Amino acid sequence: MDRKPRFIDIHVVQPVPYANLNRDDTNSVKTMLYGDALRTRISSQSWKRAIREHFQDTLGDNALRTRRIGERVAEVLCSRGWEKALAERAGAHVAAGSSIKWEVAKGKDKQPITNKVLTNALVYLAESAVEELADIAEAHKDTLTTDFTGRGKTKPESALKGKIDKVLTNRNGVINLFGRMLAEVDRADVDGAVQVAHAFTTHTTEIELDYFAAVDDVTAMRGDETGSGHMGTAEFSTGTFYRFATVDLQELIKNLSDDKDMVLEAARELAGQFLLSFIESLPQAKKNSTAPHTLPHLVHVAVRSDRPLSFAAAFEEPVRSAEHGGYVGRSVQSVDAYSKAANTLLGPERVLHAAHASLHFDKLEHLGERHASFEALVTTSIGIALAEAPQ
Amino acid sequence: MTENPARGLLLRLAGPLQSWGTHSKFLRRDTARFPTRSGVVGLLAAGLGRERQAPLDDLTELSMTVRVDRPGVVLSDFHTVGGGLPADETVITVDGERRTKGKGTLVSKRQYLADAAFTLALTSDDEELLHSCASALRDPHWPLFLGRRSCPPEGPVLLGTVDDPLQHLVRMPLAAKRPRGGPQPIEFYGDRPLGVLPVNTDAPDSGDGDHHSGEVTDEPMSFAPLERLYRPRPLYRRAAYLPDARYEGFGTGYLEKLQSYIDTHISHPQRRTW
Repeated sequence: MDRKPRFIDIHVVQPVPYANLNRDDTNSVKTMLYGDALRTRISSQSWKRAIREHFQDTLGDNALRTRRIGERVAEVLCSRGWEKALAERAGAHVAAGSSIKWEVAKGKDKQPITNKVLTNALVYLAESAVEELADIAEAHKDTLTTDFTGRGKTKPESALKGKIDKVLTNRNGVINLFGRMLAEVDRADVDGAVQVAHAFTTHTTEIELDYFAAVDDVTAMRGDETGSGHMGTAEFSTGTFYRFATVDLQELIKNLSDDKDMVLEAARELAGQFLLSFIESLPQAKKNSTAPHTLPHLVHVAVRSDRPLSFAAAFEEPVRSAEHGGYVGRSVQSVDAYSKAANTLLGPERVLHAAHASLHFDKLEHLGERHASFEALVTTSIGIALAEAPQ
Repeated sequence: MTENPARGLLLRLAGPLQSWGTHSKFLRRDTARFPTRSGVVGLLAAGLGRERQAPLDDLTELSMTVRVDRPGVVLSDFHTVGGGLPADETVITVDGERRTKGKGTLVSKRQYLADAAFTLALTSDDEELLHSCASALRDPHWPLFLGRRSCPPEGPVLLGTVDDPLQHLVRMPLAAKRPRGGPQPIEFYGDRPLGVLPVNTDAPDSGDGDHHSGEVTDEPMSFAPLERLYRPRPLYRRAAYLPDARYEGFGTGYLEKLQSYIDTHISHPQRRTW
């Protein structure tokens, strides 16, 4: 298998004031130890969800992750003028007609609910695939007349089997980019073409315990009691984060190869939108209490011909605050210094293109050409990566 | 199997988080305290672009010796799937009930090894195998990761192809700060006896490294989905005091020391061919 590697690495330095973007089971801020210093951490899966939602909002290329595919299909059939009972019946047969194991949903009384089938695994498919599943039901309308109870010998859904699996293995941009696990359906697994690392602060952080009390308005108005209506504590932390992700352009092109004419255009759009979503999205936890909507201070993009290269070690030695406070400036300089050391060690010819956009005013010597906007940075970098991409 | 293999690769496996599962299934995912054979073979297979069903027997021929530069700490991460759904849309429990509102989420616990750094020697008599592994680590087909995809390695992974890799494994700069409370032994883990390691100042309680101290079930036989299979192998351990001068700290500074060691001690005609 001869394939030249082509990776687009993105490095972001971003300050996030007083927030708790990613909590654990005790509502604590997630942390990790690195370079013997405690950091605030935001897990990769948390940020990836924010990226995916942003990405879907922008591209309108929605994917659905659900166990309730039968109900979705029934809904579509209803909207096409099917009688409700028949639509639910058909939806249930469709859900049971895939290779995925399923069960009949049970009500509060633990009795099975007729015509309500849940797949045992979450299926991950393009929103548009629901219409295709409804089309299959439509084509078999005559055979789907029996109620679905999960019992009995007649199995009209078996007529659908291969066809439904075929729809489930189809994929759209989101799936080509982020991947899909569907172990029970042959050839449905797609390995994602993006890899996202956990974000962490470039410096030692402390978790702040915020004590709060809520005023009872009636008490306050009457002044007849002392004390508050409610009190509690919540955890927050403040920090400058290092975030890293990489797009495996060759894997993305491979995932897209069903559509030969459009591969490059699709790769350009998906990779570009992923990078912009990575830059612009933020996990939404506690957003109403802290409004942590910040911009990255530095975005550095490198197109590499060898392998992705995380600069996490730039912060292994935790950044100390600048003389008059602040971590952002020194964090940006650390990225610059690490880039120099790493590219010297590995050989600079492996970086096909490097560029950055930053709010930082000093000249950054080792992060490539400077762009005025994130969009210009992304568009230029992807253009070069694709122009260089061997087919 | 020779006592002291002639050639091998030197690798550096370091990153903020790593995770080397040994008996992970479903909602509990653990990590070993050191890179497992299955994890490292997986890393090579990703670099070589091997599909999950592809045979691995050639890769498992490689012998692996790990130096623990920094042992790190185990981090337990709380991971949820499917949160934010109304109660009637949540996952059904075994007895057919809905989970109650606010509890509809699938929860998994994942362990990571935080703040760890390892240097590895992969040895073999098969020159061709070493060569193809080296180029797979230099220009991997798929991105490399430290046990889990959210754990990319930091900095260089392949440090070089060398004669007498165990010699270098002992002498390379350590990615650690000199311990404050006096000398601390550095641990080595191997799949073969470690008596051949060129160290002479062993920690008093660690034995000679020639008798295995247990078993790990991490020898991969197949990575095929739903058919993953591992078998046990012996684990050899040895702890040794290394000179203070080997401790070269963290981050950018460490990388510069590493480079100067490589430039001085590892000959390579061109940097590109590492």
